[in-house]
Amino acid sequence: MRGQFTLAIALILSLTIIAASLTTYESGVFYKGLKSKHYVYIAKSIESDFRRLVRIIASNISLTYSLTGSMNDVLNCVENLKSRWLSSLPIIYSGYGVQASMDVSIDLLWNRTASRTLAVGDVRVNITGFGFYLYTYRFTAELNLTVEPKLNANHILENVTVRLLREGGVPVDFLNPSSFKLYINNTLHDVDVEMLGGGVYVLKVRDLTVAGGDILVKAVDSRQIMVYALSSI
Amino acid sequence: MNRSAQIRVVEAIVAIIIVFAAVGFSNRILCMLEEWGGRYGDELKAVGFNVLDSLAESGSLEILLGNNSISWERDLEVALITLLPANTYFNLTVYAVQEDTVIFLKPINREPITNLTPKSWSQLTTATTITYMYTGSGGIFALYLVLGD
Repeated sequence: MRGQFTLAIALILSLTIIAASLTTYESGVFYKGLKSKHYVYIAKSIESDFRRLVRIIASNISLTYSLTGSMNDVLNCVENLKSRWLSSLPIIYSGYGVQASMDVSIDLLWNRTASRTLAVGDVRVNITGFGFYLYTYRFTAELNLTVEPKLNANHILENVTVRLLREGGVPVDFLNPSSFKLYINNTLHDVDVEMLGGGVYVLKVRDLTVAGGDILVKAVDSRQIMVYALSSI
Repeated sequence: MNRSAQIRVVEAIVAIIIVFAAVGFSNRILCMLEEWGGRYGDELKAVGFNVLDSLAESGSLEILLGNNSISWERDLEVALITLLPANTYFNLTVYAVQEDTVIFLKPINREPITNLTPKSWSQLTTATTITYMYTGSGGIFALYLVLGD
């Protein structure tokens, strides 16, 4: 039969067009899909929230310790936050089979010249609904404070230089003056705060009559993580 | 014109119809794939997640949800209208994690946080939902953002 050649070419061309369209589409889906599938956003959301949880833990333990001075209260606070977060996770992501376990270690090294508040959290997440197992994340929230009192020629306290660093040694700048409290012999003193940059602030004592004693500096960063440092003159 | 030439013309016409049909069919099949949750749905999900995450990381959610202000729903609605692309419809429901004898989710927005109208529902061609967990000083919240275009 004559004329089959033209039709055969047309059919081959048609199939090529359809195959090319589907291949291009699938390539696009595959290329973007690795980053844009639903489970990725669930995992990202959990990761992001866990980072916030570690900050909240660091903030709450410092506040609790500041108020009660009891490590038992601090540990209870950590357990409450942990269990509430872990219980909420499968409810918020119900239907996706989200399971998680968590370890949190804390350290409150206060009332020293170099003090710190530290919370380190490790979480392991399974999203069984998508067959994804063992996402692991670790986040740290830390605030380090060092104090250095400076006396004038008459041995009167003139100012206290403090340095604030967060996790990774990142300087904490642009804090409000109200973020600092200076106690001399357990008495709160008014100070003028000058930021020098690099996490360094100078607390200038307004009352220049204090000759000596214990100097306690309390600092709170924008995440509400608190730390106390102590020095003597 | 002889019979052979007529057959060639008919063949050519049929061949052209087959090729155009293939182009039309491939377009249609790609549209169907998109409607079944293709790339565009993923792009909406990416936009929704990024908007919620940027609101959380910038501290805006802490201010809006933590302070329990009178008009936080309206403020959040304005933020979403500003941050989402034009012609994107949204509906956000915010739940607070509460604990009685068991943990449960309680919806806390007193008014809808949405730019959807009854008419716009029928115009949506793509829709997707983003679930976002937010832990702040005010507690644990679950944000369910439905996005459509």
